[in-house]
Amino acid sequence: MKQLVLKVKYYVSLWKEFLSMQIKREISFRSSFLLEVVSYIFWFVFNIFFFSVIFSHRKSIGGWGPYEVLTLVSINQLIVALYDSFLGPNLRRFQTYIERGDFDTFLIKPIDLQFFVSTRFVELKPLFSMPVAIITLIFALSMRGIPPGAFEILMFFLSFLIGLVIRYGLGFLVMSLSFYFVRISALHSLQRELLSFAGYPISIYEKFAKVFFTFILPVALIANLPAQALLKYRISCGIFLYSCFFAVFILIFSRKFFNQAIRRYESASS
Amino acid sequence: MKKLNKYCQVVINTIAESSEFRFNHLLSFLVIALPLIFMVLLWRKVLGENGQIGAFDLKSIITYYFLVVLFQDISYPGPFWEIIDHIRDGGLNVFLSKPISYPGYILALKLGINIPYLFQSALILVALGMVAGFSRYLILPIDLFHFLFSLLSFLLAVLCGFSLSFIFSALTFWLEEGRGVEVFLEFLISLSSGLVLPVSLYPKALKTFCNILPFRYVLNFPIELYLGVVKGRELITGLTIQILWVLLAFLVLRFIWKSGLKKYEAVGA
Repeated sequence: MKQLVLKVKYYVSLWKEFLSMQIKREISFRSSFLLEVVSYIFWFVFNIFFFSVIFSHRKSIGGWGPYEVLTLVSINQLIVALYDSFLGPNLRRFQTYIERGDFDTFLIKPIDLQFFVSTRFVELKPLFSMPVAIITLIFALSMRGIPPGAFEILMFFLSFLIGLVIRYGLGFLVMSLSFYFVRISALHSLQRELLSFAGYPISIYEKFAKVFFTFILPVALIANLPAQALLKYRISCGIFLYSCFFAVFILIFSRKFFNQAIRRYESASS
Repeated sequence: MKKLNKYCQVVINTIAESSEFRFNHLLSFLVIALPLIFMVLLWRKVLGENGQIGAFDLKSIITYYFLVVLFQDISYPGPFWEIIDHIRDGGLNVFLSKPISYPGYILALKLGINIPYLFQSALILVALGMVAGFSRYLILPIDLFHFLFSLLSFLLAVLCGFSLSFIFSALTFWLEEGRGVEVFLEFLISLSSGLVLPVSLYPKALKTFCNILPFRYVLNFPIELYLGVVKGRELITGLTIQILWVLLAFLVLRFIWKSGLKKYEAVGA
């Protein structure tokens, strides 16, 4: 137990080092930094605008009204912002690491390789969209007039965490394919594009699409589940348990897959 | 004619070279085809079989996104990493000492990459449409007149998109860190080109804003023309504006390129 605590402390202190290095790096180009922050917030506003155009012609999307969708879009933005700040910038660099042979030095470091390649870089810009998303979320919930209770809030945090884990696990798994397809530059865009649709209401999926995007590639669970919790929608116990199971499964499976895939690494010539 | 031959040779070589990376193409295509699947699912739910939003019904909105996916890669403005790398690492020197126009070379390179990709994408999209069952929603142009004008407009869109991409990439001559500008332009272009939503569905003020910018004419305009959403006087005005944008973008490209070369320091800008 004492060893585990020491290990956790070691990794936390390492991550703090990564963070402080990144903050210095991020603010060295201030105007570029500001422009990126503004663009990030604009993207969120644009997502809201997209649905507002639909709602200017329709009352609901398969039972999801404007405030329900606004809740969903805001929650998705929170997940996206956290992912794009702490995990996305690392997964994006995977292929460059392999192409340049950077794993040569990573492999000899006294550190868990998955931790290192997943946490080394941090981008602060996406985080600035979080206060806007939180305000929008509170606005949507208050306009809806059915405030969530303590149980719903607890369920929200749980499923939010699950959503984040699923997103990371799927992203990490796709990027581990880089060891097999070094020259496939579209891998990162593929996982990013796929997961960007997590902010669409689950009611758009029917028949095969519903099964596929809920159970096989559970994009629909990432933001919909926490949104449904806050909106006091009835969440099926089976779906919730499945999302917990999938989160654990994808974490373990993607790690195993990564450890297997790295055996194909052949330094810079791979 | 002889001058043109060398650029045609670049196109042919690039087509041959890019066919070596078919799997990469296939995967890149999936990246842009995925939104189509989600858009079909969303709009089917929103409109049902008989619904209407603005000038669009289910068939025309799905055809709209189908064409967006198909033409996005060839006409949509984005950074040319070749130009950025050549400027940053001094690789431009090789081209400056050759009897070749660098912008012409980049255009030939782009066409060589995008032409086979366009045909490949069309085939995959149709196959995907048949499997996923949305090919029945795809519609043909309303008449031959609109079809011919939309073809002309697509051609102009490719030229305009190329010039804009070249201009943005050549800004590397002046920008030390261009990520902020790149991200902001990415947002602005997505908004005003109709990539996510047809511009004609925007509120009036935003539509006017998009009409002022060139980006609508690289994607949204030719597609709305094909679908007959743009017709009559709007068609003539739109095409005239598009031609003017192509000319203006080309002039700006020449100016930026010449000014940039003066700033270029051969070891990287």
